Amino acid sequence: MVKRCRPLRGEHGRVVSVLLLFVWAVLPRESAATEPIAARSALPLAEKAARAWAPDATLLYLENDEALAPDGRAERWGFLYHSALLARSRAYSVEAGRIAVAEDCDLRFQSAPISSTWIDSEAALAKVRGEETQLVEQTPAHMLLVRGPLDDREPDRTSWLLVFPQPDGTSRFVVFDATSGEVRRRWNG
Amino acid sequence: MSRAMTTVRALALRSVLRLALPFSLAMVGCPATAGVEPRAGAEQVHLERARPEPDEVKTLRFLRENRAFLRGRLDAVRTAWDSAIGAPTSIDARWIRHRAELDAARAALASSHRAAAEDSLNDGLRALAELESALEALERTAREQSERLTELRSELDESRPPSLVLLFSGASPSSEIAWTPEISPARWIQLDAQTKEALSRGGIVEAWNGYVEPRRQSFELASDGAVGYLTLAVEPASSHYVLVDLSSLGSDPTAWVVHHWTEAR
Repeated sequence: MVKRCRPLRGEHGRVVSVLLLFVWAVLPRESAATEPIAARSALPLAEKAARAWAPDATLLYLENDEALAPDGRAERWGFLYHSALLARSRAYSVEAGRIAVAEDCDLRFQSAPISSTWIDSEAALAKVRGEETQLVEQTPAHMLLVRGPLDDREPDRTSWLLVFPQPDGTSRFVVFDATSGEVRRRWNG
Repeated sequence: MSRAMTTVRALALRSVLRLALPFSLAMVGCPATAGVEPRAGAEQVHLERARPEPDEVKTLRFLRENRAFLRGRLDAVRTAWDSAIGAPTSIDARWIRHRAELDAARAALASSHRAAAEDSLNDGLRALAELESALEALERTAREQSERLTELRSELDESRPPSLVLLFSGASPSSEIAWTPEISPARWIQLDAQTKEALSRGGIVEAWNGYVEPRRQSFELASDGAVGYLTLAVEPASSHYVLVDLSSLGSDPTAWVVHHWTEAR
């Protein structure tokens, strides 16, 4: 005769269930989202990677790779580097303490290198809101930093372009000088 | 007869033992043809037959979607700069006058310098005191620059990318190993007779070293047509070491013996 295991019932079953539930509740879980960071916080890791790729790598462009938080931080930032020696460009996407993406880039976007001193994304957004009061409650969809193509009068300036989506389907574009801290251009489109 | 045979067998056995013992000792003392022991704390890593696929994560989306707009803006800036270059014009006559005045002023200065050089002993002593003050200032500056240099060296260490060193040990069945990091071209490592001899005697060969990106990445290792992929998580502030036991290389890359360890910089 085969001896069968009896399922836990009654008091024993309840105790075991409570214990299992307790263990499940206290076990640490891996969080899917990472901590939002300012653009400059992601820069050192991107710089290290770029130096390993090419000794003459220069930063040409950066933008938020994930949605921006209201304070101008994002979970991931994308950086575009160019090497004149290799005649190639490479992109890195950096989240808190980790390079999520590293890939060669065939975009052929060759602006001048970004200045080494630029106002960080949080401070830039705060200053823009200070001058554009109607944008105080709005979060930009995009923030990108580039030198050259955004300001006709001062094309050598490193500037942020902030793109604020509007309720009517258009966007409010604001060009912010990342060195002097001035709003240089505004337009709707 | 049988007693004599027994004696002969015993003598022969003793002779064999006498020979076998030093030979076995020699074998024990002889370096093994397998790889050397890796450093304490090293982990054995396993190679894959196929390169792992990267995660599908997008980057620089705004740039990709608006590339035409941004490149158009760049071209417009370049066009505006080029059109600002004008045709040459004649030199303003005032500049020529200013040049003559400047030359006359330089000549007057030179003559006043000659007069100053004919001063008395008191002027010389005053100059010596000023020189001593200047030397003290230079020493102060040298100390500040030394501190600044120490600071810069520390910053350089922090900004330096992580490095990886590839080491070989063990007798290799082949004479050529290929090593390909993700960001560098393939490196064909030739093992000449001298290197092979050193490896067979228990030596270690540094086959490659270079900077690597601080991220999870795969390195390709190939030998005699067999290709394996080694995936490592490269830490930003560490030096990484990979030790390959060449005696384990065969047609199955998943059976290759590879160890990995790190050292903080």
